[in-house]
Amino acid sequence: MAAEMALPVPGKVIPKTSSAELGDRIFVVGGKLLLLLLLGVAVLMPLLAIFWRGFSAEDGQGGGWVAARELVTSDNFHWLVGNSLKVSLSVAAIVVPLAYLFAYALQRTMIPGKRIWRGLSLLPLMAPSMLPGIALVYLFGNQGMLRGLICDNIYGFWGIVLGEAIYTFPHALMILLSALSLADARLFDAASSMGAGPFKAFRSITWPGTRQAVFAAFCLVFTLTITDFGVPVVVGGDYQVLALEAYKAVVGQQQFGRGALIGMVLLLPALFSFAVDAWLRRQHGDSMSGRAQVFKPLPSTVRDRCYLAIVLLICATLLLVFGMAVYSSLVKFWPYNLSLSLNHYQFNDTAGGGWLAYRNSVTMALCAALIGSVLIFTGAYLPKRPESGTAHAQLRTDGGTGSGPGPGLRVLFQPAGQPAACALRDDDAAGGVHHCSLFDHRVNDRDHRLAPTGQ
Amino acid sequence: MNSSNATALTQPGVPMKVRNVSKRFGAFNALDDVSLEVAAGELVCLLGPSGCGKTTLLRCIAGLERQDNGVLYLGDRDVSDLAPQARDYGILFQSYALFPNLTVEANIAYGLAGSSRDVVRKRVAAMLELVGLTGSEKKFPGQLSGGQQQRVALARALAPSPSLLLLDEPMSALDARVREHLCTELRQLQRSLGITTLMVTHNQDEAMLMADRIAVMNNGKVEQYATPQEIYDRPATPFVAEFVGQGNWLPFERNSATHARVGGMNMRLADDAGRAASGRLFCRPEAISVNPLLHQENLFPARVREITFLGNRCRMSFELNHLPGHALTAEVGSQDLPRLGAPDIVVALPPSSLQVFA
Repeated sequence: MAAEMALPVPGKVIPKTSSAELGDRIFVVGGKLLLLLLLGVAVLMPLLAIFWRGFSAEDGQGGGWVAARELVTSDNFHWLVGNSLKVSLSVAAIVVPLAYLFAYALQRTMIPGKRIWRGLSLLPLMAPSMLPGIALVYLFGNQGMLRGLICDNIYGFWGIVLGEAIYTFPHALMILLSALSLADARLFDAASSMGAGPFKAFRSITWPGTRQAVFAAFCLVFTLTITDFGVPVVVGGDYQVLALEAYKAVVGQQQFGRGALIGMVLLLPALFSFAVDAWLRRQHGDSMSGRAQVFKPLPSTVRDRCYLAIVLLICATLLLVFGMAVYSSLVKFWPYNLSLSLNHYQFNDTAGGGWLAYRNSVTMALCAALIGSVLIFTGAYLPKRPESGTAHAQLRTDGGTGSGPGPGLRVLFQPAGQPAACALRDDDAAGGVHHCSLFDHRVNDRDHRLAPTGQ
Repeated sequence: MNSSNATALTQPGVPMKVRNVSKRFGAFNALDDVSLEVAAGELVCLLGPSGCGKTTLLRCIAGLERQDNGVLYLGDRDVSDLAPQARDYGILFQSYALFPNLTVEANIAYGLAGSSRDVVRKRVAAMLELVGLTGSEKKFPGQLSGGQQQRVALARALAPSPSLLLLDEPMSALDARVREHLCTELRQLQRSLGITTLMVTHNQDEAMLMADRIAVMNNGKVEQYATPQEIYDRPATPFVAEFVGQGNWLPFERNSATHARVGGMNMRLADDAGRAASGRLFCRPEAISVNPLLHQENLFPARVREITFLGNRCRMSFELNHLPGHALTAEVGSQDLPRLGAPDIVVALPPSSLQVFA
């Protein structure tokens, strides 16, 4: 057998140039070049544009070296950076553990109704970040239904944290769900045969297998929060953050240079997390053996009840917030006339285009979805094609940056793209880019974990 | 753990008993009232085709699966309801199941929680020496070959000095040469440690090579539990005869206490052959002599159909002239080939080699 296997190898060294093979090569190499080109256009060009904007000292734009130094040394800027960091770190610290518990409940326990919980938990993905903010105002604002229940005034730090937590929860959840989906049952068997209890098994098997995803989720939530202005603009009150400042500079004051400067500052955490992620990936060996057995959770009443309680609590919160948003959209005149009507859905009367804006949104979203899925599929497919050694080396670097473009792309697009998109009264287009980059992350992640199987 | 214990590689083996264990998965009967006794220090193989219940039995013994009925004893302890952590065994999996993020050292020390650091270090060193991998302490499983990983897994399983060693198809992930080498080594190690061992395999060569006794399983039942020799020479059921080694089957009708009719032939049976009035006769290929030099009983003319060269032996496929269309196999030494004068031959089916199944 070994001899038979060894025979074809010398033959392979001599390049056989059948036309099919040549076509294949051209397809793979050409596809890769095209992707690289597209990536350059879509990522590098806006980046360069931001740099150019930021450091060109045009009149009335608020850019340039002098303005940059002024901005960075001003007390207001320090205050904004501090606020942004505080908010983002708090949100990440709250969302990631909750999402981990939620994902763990869905993947590693036997709670009933998993599909329902999963569907509900992904609700915030479908809405712009402003929506939880608006719903929070209706719930806990000055005229809110539940005002005084948790705090006197939702506007400020905790309002932003709560809104961002709801907005970023499904993003973190998706990463953690895919990280927790694969587990080798044999490792758990081995651990329990050597006297390890559930806690030790978690520490030595589950945690090492998922800590990288936890880090990725942390970075994702952090960057999503620090670059988001949708929630702060609604429930921020006097509590200002950097992203809002960029938004105001661009949309309110038409100071594109100043907006670009702040955008570059917001880029830093993404670059940092990108570097750390790449480093972590190099540290990490192959996590799954090709002979792994699929892990099936054993029944445990106590565990399942605890997790069901957590899942129910989170889903109830999400439902409350989104139910409130829908309810408030139907109410005639908050809070004086609570009878329901469809008056608010008559977009004809709205300023800025009405139905036209809505149609534009839908068209743009469709285009983004179409182009995005084709791009992502080819991007994930091409590097996996068996080819020469150099292609494989390239594959590794491609794969290594797999999670990078997730948060990376998003940040690039957000400070630069989102204010512009918003200026067009369109939040969905930006949403399209989000989702693409998020799926890109998931596709890459899965490929990565399954790669050893294909050996 | 004191120092004398740390140097002792394992505790003396204890006997293990399985009594009337049953296990169902829905409508599928994985284990059907299985009983098995393994003596202290013995190596027993559970041999059978996939789906016969051998792995389920091992997992029940390990406590990784809960039996529906039945009792399990390890030594004189009833372990039927104990959690795996409390059962005192070591297990080796087909997929090694080493913790990929832990070093070799940490993997082996995994089951030694509670011992002092010094004891653990000594123990790890002793185990690595035992499996011949001294110096690999700081490596990660990913840096080792399959065979080396399985050795580490063995060291890890033996480190806590368990009284029972369970092997779940430990060789099937390895290539043939490594497998044979590791088989012999594992057997020697098991003998010198005197640890009671239960091994699951679907590979009969492995079972023959290693086991003191083999339990051949089929459809959730133990068909035969005996030494390898006995299983090969005196299979208890047609299934065992078929599953272990090669064999020939001949339909027969009994016509007297000592003779049976096969096709147009009259065959003499051994005195201790079964009493069945009709059924099948079973005969190993190497028991058939082709063109025997000495006079033998049950001589029949036959015609060669095909000869396969296997190195030191040849496998000869032939038909008895009185039973056309029914292919039989005989094994002959390669040096005998020239004197066989194919295609027309005479074969002898010695009565002692003919076994009767109803």
